[in-house]
Amino acid sequence: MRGLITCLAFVVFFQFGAVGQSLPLNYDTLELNQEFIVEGGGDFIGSAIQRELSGKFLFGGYIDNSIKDNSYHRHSTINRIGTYGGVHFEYRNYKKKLIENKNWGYLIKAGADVFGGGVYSKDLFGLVFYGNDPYKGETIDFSGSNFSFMSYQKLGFGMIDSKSKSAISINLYNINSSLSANFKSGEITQDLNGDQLDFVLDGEVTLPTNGAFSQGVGIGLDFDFKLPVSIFKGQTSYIQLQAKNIGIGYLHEKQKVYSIDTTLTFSGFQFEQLIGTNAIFSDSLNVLDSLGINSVEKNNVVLLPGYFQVGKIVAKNTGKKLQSFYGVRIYPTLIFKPYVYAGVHYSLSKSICFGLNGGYGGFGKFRVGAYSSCNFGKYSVGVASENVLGFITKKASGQSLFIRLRCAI
Amino acid sequence: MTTNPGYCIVKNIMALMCIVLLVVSCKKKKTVWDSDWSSPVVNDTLTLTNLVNDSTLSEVGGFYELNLVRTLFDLDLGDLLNIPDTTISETFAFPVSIDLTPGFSFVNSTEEHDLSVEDLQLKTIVLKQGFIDVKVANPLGTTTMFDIQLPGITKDGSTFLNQYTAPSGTSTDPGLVEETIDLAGYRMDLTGVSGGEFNKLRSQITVSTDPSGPSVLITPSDITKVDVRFRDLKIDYARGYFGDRSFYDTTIVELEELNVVSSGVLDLPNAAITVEIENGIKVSAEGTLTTIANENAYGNEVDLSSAQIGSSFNINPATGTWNAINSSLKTIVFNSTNSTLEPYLENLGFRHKLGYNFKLNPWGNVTGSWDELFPNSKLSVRLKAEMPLMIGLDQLVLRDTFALNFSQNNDNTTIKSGEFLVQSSNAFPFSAQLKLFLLDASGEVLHQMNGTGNIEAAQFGAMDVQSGLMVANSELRLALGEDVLNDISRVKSFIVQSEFNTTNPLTNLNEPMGIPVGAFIAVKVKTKITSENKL
Repeated sequence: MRGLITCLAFVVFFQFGAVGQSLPLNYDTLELNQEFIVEGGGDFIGSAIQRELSGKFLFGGYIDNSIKDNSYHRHSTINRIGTYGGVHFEYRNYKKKLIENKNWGYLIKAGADVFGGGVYSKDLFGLVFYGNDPYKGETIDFSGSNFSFMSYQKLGFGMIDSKSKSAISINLYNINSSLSANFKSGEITQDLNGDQLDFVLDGEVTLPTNGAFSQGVGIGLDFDFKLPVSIFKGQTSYIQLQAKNIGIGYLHEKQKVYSIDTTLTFSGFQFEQLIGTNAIFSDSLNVLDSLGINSVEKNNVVLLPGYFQVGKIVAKNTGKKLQSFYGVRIYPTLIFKPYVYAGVHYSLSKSICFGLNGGYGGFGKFRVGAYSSCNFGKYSVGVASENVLGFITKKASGQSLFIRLRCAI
Repeated sequence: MTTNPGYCIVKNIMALMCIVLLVVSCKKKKTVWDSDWSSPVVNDTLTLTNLVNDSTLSEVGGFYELNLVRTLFDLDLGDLLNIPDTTISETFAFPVSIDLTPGFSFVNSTEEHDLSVEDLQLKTIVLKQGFIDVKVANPLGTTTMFDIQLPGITKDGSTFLNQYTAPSGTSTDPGLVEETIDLAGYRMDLTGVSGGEFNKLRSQITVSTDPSGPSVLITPSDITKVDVRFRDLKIDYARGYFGDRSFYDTTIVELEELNVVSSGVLDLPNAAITVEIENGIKVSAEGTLTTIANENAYGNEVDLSSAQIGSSFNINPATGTWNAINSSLKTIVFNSTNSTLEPYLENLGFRHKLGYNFKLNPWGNVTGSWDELFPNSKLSVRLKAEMPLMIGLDQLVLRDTFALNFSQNNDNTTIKSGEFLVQSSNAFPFSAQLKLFLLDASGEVLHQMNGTGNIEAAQFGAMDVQSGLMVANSELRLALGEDVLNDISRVKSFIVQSEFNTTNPLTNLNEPMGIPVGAFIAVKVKTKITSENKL
């Protein structure tokens, strides 16, 4: 099945053209009446974890030792892994003026997104995938580990300039899930014989307390400004300033926050702790207390996983065969490094174009992306990947696929 | 029919999207990987003091000796010498009507009363507890003075004497006065007016009119009444004849530690137990041990047979007085030559039963009513066992059952395999072979797990410089196989069974071995498991 998908993806890439999810739009400078856009896809990437491992979390299957070893040996002290993706629908009406004598039409958008990831140590990867047994005589250090995940649906309404296609919208969010973990300090030291475990833990884990579809609500802002600039004499280029999902949410369902700040040495229980009415395991609260774990349930206010992106985009109607694009994308979170990218766009004909790009940062390291798109009158279809290697080799650091359908009238 | 190429492309893309979404959203298989985990579970050192009270162990020649003392019962005779509540009730009436002048004494009565005790002849008692409720009733139309004296009832050398002033009243509505007096510490001379009687209380009551009041007429219908009620009397000291009363009972002593013996042989050479009767009362007694028996964990009951069981023996009275009381001591020793003590002990009974029968003054009042009971005088029966802890164990099996509630859901992360590693340093002279039995809710054995080796006995080890004892280091494993883990959700309890032997390395026979002072067994249990993680 996965082979079939890979083949199909390549067929699409090289027969047609596409537009990357967050990579520069094929900017249509012509005036339009209406526009329908449906797009979706996902991207998962790790700075060290190979696709053969991360793919198992997507498609399932058994992760054997060679798969674990291949990823483990690529890890450095600090590593990242993450995913984002979603499905969106957007309707733009350029002719219905919201403000008299202004070129502002309106837009309606709806969609669902996931965003999650983390920064972690090599030891934490080893602990999760190998267990603690191989670390006898060593210290497992996962200090600074930080994970967060959020999924939500959004519904937005906004204005769009019919000429520049710059837009701004206010969105309402239904938060499905929000969880996080953060360890300022995290060390487990074992002696060589496995007789003693020393814990140094200072961290917090926040989890939902129930499976309710709506854990919270939020409000946020999207904007997308396209500014013409003259980089080279006599040539007009376009800079896109874009932000999505900048806002906050309130979790009306309580979350359970487990916090621990303790230094603990454990070398085994005494018999009287295990046997009899005063046995430590007779009360789960006793166990948590004895481990120094406190828990509290509370309603949290959270930041939505929004991002900012600024970059040069390509224009559709310039008549140039070859154009460049570049930019940077920033999520205001420690788990996502600023992602810089640059690439070239080639228009094979009026209806077919494609591009190649390279990028560095985000949840991963260097990645090569590609896209192509194809126009059929008022319709256009595009497929893009920010990680082409993910379709070629399982040794790549993730996989990425986005599809975009557009109807412009 | 011509095919529009654009239509085909759109159709292909849509198909691709459907496939991708199908694969992503309907993941068929779970993500599975294995990881290895290890952790210490138990780290403890056991000595004999963990098993028995410190005071039951003594040291002789570098080896432990059992010095067990159990008090089977303490009989406080004061509880048996029961004095029922007694009321002295006196009424006074004039046969004719006369005028009483102020200050006229119209009652002056000295009486003797019997204390209602059945088979006791008490001459003197000192009360640990007791009360007098005094109630006087005055039928005259003037205030009257009641002087109540109880000769022979003294405290700190003073005779009990109280005066009550009763208000005026009528024959139908007399003037009343009531008072309760604490009698604790009072001494009661019960020898009566003659001084040669027993169980006798004396009273002297006078009643007179108010010297400053008016003259009043007293008629035959005017009844002056005095009630003195003794109640809740408890004896601290008693002298007299305590009667030939008997008391008997069967007392049970349980040693729960032995309730885990399953099978095997325990050899206890040179053992002896002593039944010790201490009499702190100055009264002779005759006693009989009617039965000594024990019952082990199997329900097997063994009687101790001896000529001393069922035969009566004399118990001498205590001597001395008060703080210088010297209790008499009667000891009855059971050993392997005068009884079946060895098979009795080797039955490893956890419930011991001792029946007794005691009779006071078996020869009647031979002391001239001079039996004496002092504060804290008791008749105590103790069981003492003194023996060197030379224990021979031959395939002695101890087993105990523990509840377990652990479940695995194969759809989630599970334990795939594992083992317990038991490391021990043993300074005791016995080896142990461990087995685990996993039981379902009905108690049926689902799986048996055998240790890969034994916890070796100290005599098979080497001298440990730190403890100065022979110590054997051992390591054994109990494997948690796939078959066991597949059934783990059905396991509701488990049995830990250990077979003990005291093997002599020279003869290779199980023989009695002494337990050296400071003997210990240090146990570390560690676990290593492989988990199958599923997401």
